[in-house]
Amino acid sequence: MKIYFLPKDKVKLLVESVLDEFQVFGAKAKEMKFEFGKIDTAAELRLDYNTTILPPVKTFFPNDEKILEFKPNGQTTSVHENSKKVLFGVHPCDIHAIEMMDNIFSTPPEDKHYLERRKDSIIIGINCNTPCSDKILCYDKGTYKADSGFDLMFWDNGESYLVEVVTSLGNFLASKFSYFFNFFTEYSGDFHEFKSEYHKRQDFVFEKKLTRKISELPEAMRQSYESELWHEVGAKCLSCGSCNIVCPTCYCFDVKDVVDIDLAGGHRCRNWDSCQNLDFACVGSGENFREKSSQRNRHRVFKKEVYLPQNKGYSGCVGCGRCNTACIAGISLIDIYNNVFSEEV
Amino acid sequence: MKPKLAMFSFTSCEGCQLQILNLEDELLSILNAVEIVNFREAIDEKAQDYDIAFVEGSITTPEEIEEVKDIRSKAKLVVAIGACACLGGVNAMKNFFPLDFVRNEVYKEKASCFPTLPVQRVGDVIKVDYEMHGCPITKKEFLHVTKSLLLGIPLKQIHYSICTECKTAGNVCLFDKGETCIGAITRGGCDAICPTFGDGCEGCRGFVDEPNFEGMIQVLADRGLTKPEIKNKFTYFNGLDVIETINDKIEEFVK
Ligand code: SF4
Ligand code: SF4
Ligand code: SF4
Ligand code: SF4
Ligand code: SF4
Repeated sequence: MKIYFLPKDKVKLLVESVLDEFQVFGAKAKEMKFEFGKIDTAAELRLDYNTTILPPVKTFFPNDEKILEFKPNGQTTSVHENSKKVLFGVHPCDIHAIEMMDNIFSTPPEDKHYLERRKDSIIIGINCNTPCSDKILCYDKGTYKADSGFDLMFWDNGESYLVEVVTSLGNFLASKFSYFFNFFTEYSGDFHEFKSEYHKRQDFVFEKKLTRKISELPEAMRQSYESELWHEVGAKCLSCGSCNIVCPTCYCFDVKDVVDIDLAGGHRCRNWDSCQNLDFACVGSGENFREKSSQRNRHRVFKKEVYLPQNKGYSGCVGCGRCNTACIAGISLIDIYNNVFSEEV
Repeated sequence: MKPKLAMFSFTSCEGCQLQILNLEDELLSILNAVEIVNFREAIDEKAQDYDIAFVEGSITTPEEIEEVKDIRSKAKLVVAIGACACLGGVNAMKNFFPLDFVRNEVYKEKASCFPTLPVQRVGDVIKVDYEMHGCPITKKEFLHVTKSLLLGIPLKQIHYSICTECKTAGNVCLFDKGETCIGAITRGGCDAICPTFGDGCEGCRGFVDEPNFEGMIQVLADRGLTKPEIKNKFTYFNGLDVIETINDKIEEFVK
């Protein structure tokens, strides 16, 4: 691990140089919000954003992704994209989400389309000085900080950033652009102290939203399976799917074939799907395993807080709050979790 | 022999036919695979023999009932196209007024020469094999449906909402800008074109299956919409679907 010192007024120059060599993805303004997308000029990139409408991980899992081409003679070709990308300025919750998606898509059978896009990508994280909204659960979940899942991490140090370099890809990038980085310190001791001071300041401004510890959630959830709560949520829910589409850990997709206009060849693509759509759990025979909105809502939350912890050992929610913000019906995981906690005997 | 394709137009603005004509580049390729035998916007003569009939417009007169039944008896497949044909569409507003009043408003002293009926969807009068929604239909869906019919691939109605497409497009939600939208309960398929260009969805593609009207009414009321404003949102394109229930629901859910 190496720590560099980067004056904030040098960031723009650094971004310009990175842009000369790599495709850069990052946060940029979109009306009064921010989107995560391809950066064309250094001035566009914003490191002071709160959160992005769609999460950074979608860079590796784009919608309407062409995954296969087929020819009239029956020949098929799997389609992959693997350009080197730099994701510049990813918040800790989203870093956790990318780590989770890496795990999901690399669990056999491997998803080559995701993994190829992900393979050579460099992730530059940036810590959050303050909470990005009041709809988040990152402080309860501990995902407001990240120890891994990034190549470089930017720490706000007033007029400068401290840049923590942890991987060989990070080293590669830092040494390539060493012109911009002044060597900060060889003593890891100093940095540890810096970090603990930084986190202390975070403790001051971040607050927990849940009435109980997150570790108690899976069991409390299990107890709530038959609860009236799901009917109340189901009655409010419009089954619009927004909560899934904006989520950095929702990985479900639908696959469809698009035939060329000459009716000969064509391609297969995948589109983001949502478990809140009526036909999501509809199978070939026409049977729908979750035909009620209450069942679908329960499933979304159980998938994240019961099934994934049980099968994978981690929660399927990093607490970024995007679903809570996106829901026009006002359905919030914070309320759901607290209701689950208060119901449990 | 190439399959014969026919276009028919009933009470509508013929905007859906125009969408098809607008497919300049693809139209020539389609013509390699099919023969278009009836298309008022493009060709003059009328054929009596066709395999696939695309029917635009809602049914509003006794003559139209007879004509559309005749089309059904001749065509192997009938596809209703556009909001007028699939939902009643904007025309369905007629049904919110007494029939005589509407007729006198439009035809004045000649009213008695023009028999008229309450608006019906094409599917209310004849069996329809597929409904292609939208005001107007999208070129993309027309191509998809045509290709699928020619290849014998079963067609599946879209089940996700406009919100799903709108979020996928990465749009700032209109509710965040203090505006309103009924994309949450509207059937997807237009790539959320209205919100993408800054306007709330008005529901021209019809509602998703099992729409949560109560929840949607509540959301709009919470944003300060009045009862008439909420009613207008639901009846702009979807009057026939909600004509009987909407007033009661609004009364029940808007305090
Ligand atoms: S949810 Fe937490 S970690 Fe994520 S962006 Fe907001 S403040 Fe940062
Ligand atoms: S479930 Fe909601 S809070 Fe959790 S990761 Fe997904 S969008 Fe973020
Ligand atoms: S965003 Fe809200 S209304 Fe839409 S499906 Fe999710 S919970 Fe339901
Ligand atoms: S603008 Fe309309 S369609 Fe888009 S997310 Fe908001 S409610 Fe849904
Ligand atoms: S966004 Fe709504 S009103 Fe606009 S075209 Fe699509 S369905 Fe029709």
